[in-house]
Amino acid sequence: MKALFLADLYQLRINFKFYGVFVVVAVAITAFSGAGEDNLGIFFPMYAVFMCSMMSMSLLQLDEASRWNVCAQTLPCTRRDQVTGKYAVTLVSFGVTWGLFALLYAVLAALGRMTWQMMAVQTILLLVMGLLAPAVSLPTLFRWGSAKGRVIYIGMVILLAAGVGGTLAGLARLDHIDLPELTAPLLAVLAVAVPIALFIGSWALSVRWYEKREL
Amino acid sequence: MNAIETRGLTKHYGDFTLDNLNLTLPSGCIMGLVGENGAGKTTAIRLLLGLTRPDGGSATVLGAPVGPDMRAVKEDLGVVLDDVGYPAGLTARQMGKVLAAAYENWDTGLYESYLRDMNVPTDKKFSELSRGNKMKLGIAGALSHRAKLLILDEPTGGLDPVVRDEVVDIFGQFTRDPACSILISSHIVSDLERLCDYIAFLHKGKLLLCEEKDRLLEEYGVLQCDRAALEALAPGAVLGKRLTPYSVEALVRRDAVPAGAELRPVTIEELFVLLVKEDMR
Amino acid sequence: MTIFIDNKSGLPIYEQIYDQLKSQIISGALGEDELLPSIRNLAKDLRISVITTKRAYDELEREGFIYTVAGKGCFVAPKNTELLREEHLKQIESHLAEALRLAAACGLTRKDILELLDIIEGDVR
Repeated sequence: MKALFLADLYQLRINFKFYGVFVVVAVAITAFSGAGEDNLGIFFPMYAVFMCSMMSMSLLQLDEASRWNVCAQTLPCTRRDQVTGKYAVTLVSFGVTWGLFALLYAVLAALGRMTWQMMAVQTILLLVMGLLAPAVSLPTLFRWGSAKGRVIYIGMVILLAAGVGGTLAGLARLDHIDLPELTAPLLAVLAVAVPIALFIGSWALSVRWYEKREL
Repeated sequence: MNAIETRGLTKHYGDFTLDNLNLTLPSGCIMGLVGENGAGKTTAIRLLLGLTRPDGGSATVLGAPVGPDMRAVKEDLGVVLDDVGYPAGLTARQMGKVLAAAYENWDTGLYESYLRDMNVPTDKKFSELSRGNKMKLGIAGALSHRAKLLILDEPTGGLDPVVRDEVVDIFGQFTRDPACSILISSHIVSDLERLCDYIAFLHKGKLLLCEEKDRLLEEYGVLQCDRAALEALAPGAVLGKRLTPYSVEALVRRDAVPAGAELRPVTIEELFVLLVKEDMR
Repeated sequence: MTIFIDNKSGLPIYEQIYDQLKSQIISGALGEDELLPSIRNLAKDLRISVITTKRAYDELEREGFIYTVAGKGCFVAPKNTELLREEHLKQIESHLAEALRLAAACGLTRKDILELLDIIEGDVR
């Protein structure tokens, strides 16, 4: 499993050179725009995190094009290893991007440019987005191949747009409602726990589906 | 223990069936799997590697049954697929690190010496390598973890004669160790001719024959004669023929031909081509 | 030890090896109790099949020209005068048979042949 993960990391490094620029730009824009109140503030971070967590889709496509997915099976690696490697790489590329933005929000909040509440909300939103997208799309890719991947990607982008819209509406309402003392932290915990659980569940499902697949 | 054993191995695809393959590769030997494009060689190899499930029959590789879980056996298996299949963006050096993590018995020194001897660039991305270098890299990868069995699918296709000679030599050296065996599939028969102990012919999914190469060369010969002499031969003596306006070249069984008939030696390539042509008639 | 393989001749490769090794053993080019290359190494050095060299060695052993010591390898058997005599007799027989065939083709009688034999013997002496 380490071997496949290492191969994925090498490939990720090559891709990141391109995406990395975008992430840096997104961080810069977020830092200097009015973070939290207007669209740009939420859109760029969301898209950056989304793109990075969907990196594994590009890697899967690359694997199929080069037939590494077949070659890997001639090594003493199992299909489960192949799946785990991709999920691990997703965590890495998502983690780095999300970490950057979480740090940025923390700095902005510390500087007073952002409320701590806003920071928590946005950070959690990014986490949800970043984990949900691959959690939903990866099993499909493992089961039906990356040809369908493009369709999934478009679907996810649409969902992202819907998510952004819904979030903005929700955020607008949040400020006007007085939440009971414990609800907010509870919601926060749920908002973190559920995507993580889904991510793990998605891994298990991918393993199951991929093991059955004929290449 | 035989390196490879198949019993009635069968696989159906839409318009093609690999039918009832019975193959045995004794340990320490080299077997050439000869067949035209689409004959079923790659299917057979995919079945042996557990990449796909058989529809019938069974097989063992290094004593272990073939199936989706062949993790332990693959430690001792060196595989080179016809397009090698390494990740496009990785260099030979990086691939070495990946393989080192994959195999318990990986020998980095050996890997590097193969790359050096075969002049494979170590810091170029895999997608930027020439076909020959890709193949050589794949071979280096397959030979550097003390494998006991090499399974090679068209390893010399697209290589120039000098490189082919180098590569065939490397395979020969690999089997100096009596525990090491090779299954090599190819439609470039001349390479296999020298190297192999056993030859198996696959045609349209069926095994035409599987025998010791030497016995094949002794059993069959080519008779050059005229049409009259051809007619005079016993039925079943002729397995294939090539007719020109001036002569007949007939592939015959040596023992079915009258004593004193002048037969010239047959090459494995000729043998295969004439048998297949006859089958297609 | 010198061995030439001719892929184009009709003679099976194992037979070529057998013949060449045999004549080198008889002529003394390969000394008594000399260690021969292993079946496997010989095959790989000549770039031929292991089955071929094994057959050649098996034949040589069967005819008494070499012997095997388990774990050590194959060695040239000590000169066996009986064996040599056998070998030479075989060759004489085959030469004589050929001579008689040729004689028949040009119509020589037995008497002619014996006369020829006297002349040749005289020349040799």
